[in-house]
Amino acid sequence: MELKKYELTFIVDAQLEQQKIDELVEHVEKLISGNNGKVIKVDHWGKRRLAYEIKRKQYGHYIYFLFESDGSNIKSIEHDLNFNESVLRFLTVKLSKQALKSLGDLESTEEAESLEPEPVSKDVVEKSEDTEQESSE
Amino acid sequence: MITTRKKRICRFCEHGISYIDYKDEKRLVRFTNEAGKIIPRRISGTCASHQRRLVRAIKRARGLALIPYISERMS
Repeated sequence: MELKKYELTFIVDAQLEQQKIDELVEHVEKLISGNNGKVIKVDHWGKRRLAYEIKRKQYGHYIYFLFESDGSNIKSIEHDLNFNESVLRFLTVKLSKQALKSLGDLESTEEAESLEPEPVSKDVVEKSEDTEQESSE
Repeated sequence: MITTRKKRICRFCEHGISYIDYKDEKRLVRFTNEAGKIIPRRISGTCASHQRRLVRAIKRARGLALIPYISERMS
């Protein structure tokens, strides 16, 4: 089957321990890569204030996945998240052609920036790379 | 009374944006009023196809608590 790109964003209770969040992320990663899927990118947005209370919680830890799948494991992932008490919300989106295009544009501009960093913004670029590495660890 | 209307341009067409991302809540908020309601295109001047994409993005962002359904700070 043809592989398509999906985005999965979900909110975990911010009061949960970091270790448990990491375990959950690993678990979801396994679910994604289990069925011909492939994780392309994992992004921790970190603790953010929710626009409205969910289950009496004001803060949530946002986690974003970009992955490839033939679509057969989406249901099981959503089922799993649905039954997890500490997951407040989740959203899976199949990326449209336009979305992929804008995503590709973003990536190419990022690459161009990293290839030719301006002397002034060099420090900024390096700093942002460091923070990305920290968040991914 | 005859009023001359200023021609509004779709801000997405202007910047050549084809995909409106639900994660970009700062942009989406600008297309909602203080109460959190979506501004109609007769006011904002967004073109029909972009308004449809905008609405989809706003509703997705609302579901993820990135932007409010209704804003509490309304006086």
